[in-house]
Amino acid sequence: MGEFKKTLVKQYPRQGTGLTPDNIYWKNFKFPITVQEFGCADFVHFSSDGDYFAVTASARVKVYTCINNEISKGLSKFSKTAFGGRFRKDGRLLCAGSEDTNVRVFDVNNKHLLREFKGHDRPVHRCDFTADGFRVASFSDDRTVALWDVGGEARLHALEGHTDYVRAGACSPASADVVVSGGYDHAVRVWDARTGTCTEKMDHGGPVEAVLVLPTGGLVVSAGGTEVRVWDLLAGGRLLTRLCHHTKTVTCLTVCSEGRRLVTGSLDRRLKIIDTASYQPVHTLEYPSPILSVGIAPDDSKIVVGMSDGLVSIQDRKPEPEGETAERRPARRAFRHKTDTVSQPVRSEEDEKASAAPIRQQLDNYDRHLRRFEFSRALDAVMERQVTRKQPERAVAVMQELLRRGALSAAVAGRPALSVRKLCTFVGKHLSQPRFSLTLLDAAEVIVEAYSDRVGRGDPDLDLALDGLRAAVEKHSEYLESLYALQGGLDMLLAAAAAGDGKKLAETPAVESSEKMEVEAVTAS
Amino acid sequence: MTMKTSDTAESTSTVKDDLTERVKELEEVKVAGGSIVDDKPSFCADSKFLFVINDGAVHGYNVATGELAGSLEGAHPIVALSPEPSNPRQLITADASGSMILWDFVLATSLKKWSLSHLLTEGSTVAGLVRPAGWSKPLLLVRGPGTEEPLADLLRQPTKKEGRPARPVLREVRRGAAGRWEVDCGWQGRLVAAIVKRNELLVRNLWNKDSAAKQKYSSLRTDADRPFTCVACHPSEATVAAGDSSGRLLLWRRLLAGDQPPVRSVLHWHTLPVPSVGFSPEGTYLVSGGGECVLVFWQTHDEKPSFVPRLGMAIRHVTVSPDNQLVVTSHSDNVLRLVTPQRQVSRVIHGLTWGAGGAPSTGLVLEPRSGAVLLNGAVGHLQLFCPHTRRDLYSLDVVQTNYLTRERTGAPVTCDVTRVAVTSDGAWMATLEERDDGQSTAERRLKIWEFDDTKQSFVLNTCVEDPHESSVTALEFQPGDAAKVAPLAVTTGTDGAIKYWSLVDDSDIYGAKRCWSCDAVGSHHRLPAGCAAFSADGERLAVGFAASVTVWAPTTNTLQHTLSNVTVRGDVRQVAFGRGECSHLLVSRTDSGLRVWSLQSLTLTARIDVHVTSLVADPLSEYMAAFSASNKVFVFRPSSTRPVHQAALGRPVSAACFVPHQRPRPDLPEWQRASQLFFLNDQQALHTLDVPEAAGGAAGSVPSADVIGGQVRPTPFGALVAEQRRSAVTSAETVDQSEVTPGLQKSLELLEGPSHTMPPLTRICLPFLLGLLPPPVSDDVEMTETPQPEGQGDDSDSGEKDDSAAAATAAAAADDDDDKEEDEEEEISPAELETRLDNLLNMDFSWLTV
Repeated sequence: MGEFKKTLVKQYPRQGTGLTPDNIYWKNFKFPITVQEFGCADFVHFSSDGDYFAVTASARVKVYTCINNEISKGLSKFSKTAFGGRFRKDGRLLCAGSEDTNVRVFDVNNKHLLREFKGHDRPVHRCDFTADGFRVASFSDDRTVALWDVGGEARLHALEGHTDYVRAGACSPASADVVVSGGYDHAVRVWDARTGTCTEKMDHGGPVEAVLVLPTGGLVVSAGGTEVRVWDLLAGGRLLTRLCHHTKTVTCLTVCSEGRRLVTGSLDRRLKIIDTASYQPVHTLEYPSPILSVGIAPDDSKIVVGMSDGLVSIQDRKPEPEGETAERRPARRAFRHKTDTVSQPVRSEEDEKASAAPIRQQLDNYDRHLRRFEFSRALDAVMERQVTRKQPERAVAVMQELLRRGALSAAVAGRPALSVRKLCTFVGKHLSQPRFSLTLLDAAEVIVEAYSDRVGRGDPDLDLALDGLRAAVEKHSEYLESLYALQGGLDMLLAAAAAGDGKKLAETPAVESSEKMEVEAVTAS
Repeated sequence: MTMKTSDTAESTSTVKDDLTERVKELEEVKVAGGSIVDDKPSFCADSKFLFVINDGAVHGYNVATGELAGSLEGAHPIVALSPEPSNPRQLITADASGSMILWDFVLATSLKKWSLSHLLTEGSTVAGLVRPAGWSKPLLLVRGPGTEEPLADLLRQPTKKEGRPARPVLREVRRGAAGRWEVDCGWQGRLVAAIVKRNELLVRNLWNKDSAAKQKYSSLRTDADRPFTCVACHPSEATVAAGDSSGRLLLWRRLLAGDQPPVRSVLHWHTLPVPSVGFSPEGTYLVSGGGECVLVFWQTHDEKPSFVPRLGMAIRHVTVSPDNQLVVTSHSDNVLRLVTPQRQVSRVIHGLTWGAGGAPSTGLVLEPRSGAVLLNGAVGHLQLFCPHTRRDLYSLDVVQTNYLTRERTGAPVTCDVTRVAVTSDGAWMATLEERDDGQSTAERRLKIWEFDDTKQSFVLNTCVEDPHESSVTALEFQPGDAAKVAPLAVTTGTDGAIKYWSLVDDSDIYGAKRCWSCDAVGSHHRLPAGCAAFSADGERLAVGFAASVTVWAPTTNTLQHTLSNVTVRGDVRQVAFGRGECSHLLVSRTDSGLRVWSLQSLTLTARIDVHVTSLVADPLSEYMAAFSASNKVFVFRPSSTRPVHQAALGRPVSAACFVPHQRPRPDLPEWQRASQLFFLNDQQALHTLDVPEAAGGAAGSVPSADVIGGQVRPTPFGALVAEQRRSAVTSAETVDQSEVTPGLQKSLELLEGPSHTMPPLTRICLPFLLGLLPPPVSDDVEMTETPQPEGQGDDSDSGEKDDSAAAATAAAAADDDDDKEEDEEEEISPAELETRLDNLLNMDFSWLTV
């Protein structure tokens, strides 16, 4: 006995969302816990052991415990707004700048104010411990970067060179003597902490809002405007790449997944997760308000996002069922393709295993009906709301199968008006999608044929349904006409280009083809 | 098969006398194929073998393994067979003229021959054998001379006393829906039933004096618009089952009971006409099958059906084995399936399967990795058939949809593979599937498959929906070394486009992937593109556009030449580039004949005005074969119009292919040395042109012992053991080709030095030529060589260890040699002798004492 073969669903490449292992990984978080702060949440920082995270907002730095997401300490010895509270590597000290120009260092355990570095003329928005933990670099609006000795509470260097506010800065995690700062003068400067000289200067092309030195110490990421730029320090500050995935100013940067992913947050309320090997965006997370700060636990178990309206969102990773996700991820990989004309039928290895084993196959509802030649019920099964909304390709695949069996007219016929309306709505909605339009045009024809004699007989639902279908088809044909006009125009241009340049004649068909292919894929009806 | 050893020996002998002996005449030899589903298969008495008639021969399949156990061939084509119920090894066959043969199947010998031609009237032929239970001789079904509607009479074979045949048992038996004569016996050999009119069954009691039966005849009728399609009789009761064209099974019980009319019941599940029905040997259940591809088991007591669905293609015949352990179904795609009572398919027997009908649309395509040919298999499948071993290697599901069975309103149009191409290294395969029912949008899919070494099968890589706007006419891969050139595929369509598909990198951060994508499109005056072919080096692509042939450079997609001529009328159907010495030539085929073009001079160099239906080029040599509409094959070189070989064939050829030999075949003529020509005729039988005896040997109709034995090989390791082994001795006997001119190597050494150090040609001419001559038997130059090794080799039989004894041994050893050596020994210098003696003394003889 041959196995019943499942209906092949043409799987087309999804744009951006959906199927990659990264998408699954980053979607696997619990519902967020939100905390309302007084001012905007300026900065979020995780301690390197992952036990605590600090959220700086208004005149406080709150230290949360990761296990229960509760405030364990509140550091409030600030006269004005606090900025950029950051842990030392060992997690015992925390430094923070302030509107009142002073930089403070606290003992996290007993909340004591250990040091207060005075010397800046303007507010200090960011400060950081150097990699050895003995010095603090502060980045101030007085256009200087200062280096302070934690032990002696003395200013070691005042690094001058920026011509505008310095609002971003970081110390290299790999070298204790490298400090990077970014200012509103569009410059990203690299300083030698030993001599106090500027060793490299890069032009970001916009006011720099955040800088980050990647864990290897060789790459610097700067954010400002809608752009993120990656610089190679070892190659003398060469621009490696520019990432333009945000529509508004990028405000914060962090790394996660052991340095394999870069996270950028922006005022456009999105977090983008970017692969640091290829600099391709792999996932997007959306938030209700413009994002000012982001922190991710070292083991990716928690995302904390601070927003401009003072909302702090804390999201924990769902506990993974052991071993399952690791196996599932690669199985889904195989079905991604590049061009729209290329599709891959869904027949995973799991199916093959199932057919090799003598156990009964798992069939979808519609396949079970198709196996029993219950065509009308198969169509009903895919006209369910969750299929038509979430997986329209399955509904279209079943319609195609019914057409192939010559059974669509039988399956469509004799339905109540509401069911016809549902069908017509579905067809009308998806008609303009090039991957569905051929099948759905055939289906529309069958529907009209089946119900044309019932139109105008006093059934308003049915009339409405068919009218909607007609409108959709008309709209689609107008759309196609405009595309043909576009194609004609392009052809003319290309022909002119070919005639003008005899040498390029050989290449023209290829150019033409790729453009044509795109248009043809759409207009193929 | 067992003939292999003798065959090799024969081939080696032909190497020697190849120059002198004329090449033997080639004959058309059947390799495989032909229908095994025309007639109902029958089991031998112990259900170990299954017999079917294939092209006039009886094929016996081992039921346990599904392998072909042997085949029987008479002088004339066998048309009917009847296994002996008393002896499981024996069966009776009949040919159309009435000569009967009793065979022992296991020994593959005929035991007895007799003729019943005296029973046949003028123009009538034997059509079948029917054996009622307990009868020693089968009844003879004789087809009358009338041709308008085939009718046959059932005759009883007369005993010796009677001499002349009695009146026919039943007259005017008809054929049913499956094209089989619908007649069956039952009720322990007492009852025979047959369809005699479209809607009438006639049942007859065969026993003259039968107390249980009160009637001799009974006529059973059905509605006029539902003619009978098949009939079967219960083995032990007076019950007859018959199928009709509306899908009903009618069951009559208590037949021939005189005053009481028979009881009729109706079993209705089938929607299509029932082509075949059969009772189990105990009569407890009934099996039926038809176009729904479902085998239905009916319990006779409660008439409840149970099903074995999706059995491939439409069922034509069903037979239940005598031991009730198997049901065999014959399918319209030339496949037999063995179904167990647990409703599982236990074995599938097939040779060359047939597609939806007619010639394979893919043609025969060589798969270079296995040296087998690809062609359409069951609907939506490709089969890989190895013509050398005559085995079906595997079947690949290309379309991956359920087979849509026929319905009452008509058969749905199925999606089937229309084109297939394989790269020259076998790493990629492209298939094209098409479905156009004329109503809804046509489906067209280009699928490109990658060979997976671990799975040893093709795995789908890319699926392209609608590669062309209208139907695709050609699909080709660019030949060439895959390591150097990225693979390139070309499709042409009636939309006028030539599309180039290339392998592109589709890797992302999650892993490396490759897929195929269209990277260029060419067109020519908006004409519909026809056939396409690559040149042997892959540098040129020829595409037929209407009546002209265009030549393109595939790397740049530029038109190089257009070849057209006033004498070419009609569309170009096929193009092929020459190879080797003929690589500058291009052959195009139109309905009016072949045209040979030269790409150097861009002229028409030859025209052959024969209506050629198919043209194939050898992938290894410059020969091409053309098949004409008048069933002839011409083998030619494009450089000359004179055919190298021509032969008349029995039937029209639908597809052909050159397949490289797996082992050298020096007995074949020059044009078939590199590869052999195989062709498929309109009856789906694969034929070749071969030397008669070689083909007979390879056919190996004598089955090997373990297949005959009716056993599965006991262990998996047993299956690994070769059927026969060849020892190193026999392989050493194969003649070294270089021995033909033994001095050749030496002569060539003369020429090996750099050219500036070589002596003038006048000097070396003589030694060169002398070197080529065979060396004289006794040559002084060679005699001076010292025969040292022999002295050492032969002394092992002497055990002495002192000096004098050693010297004696040396002398004795020399004595053993022939006279020539003896003469020589006197010439050995004393110094030499001393060194030899030293050698002997130094040898260690301690091993001898043990």
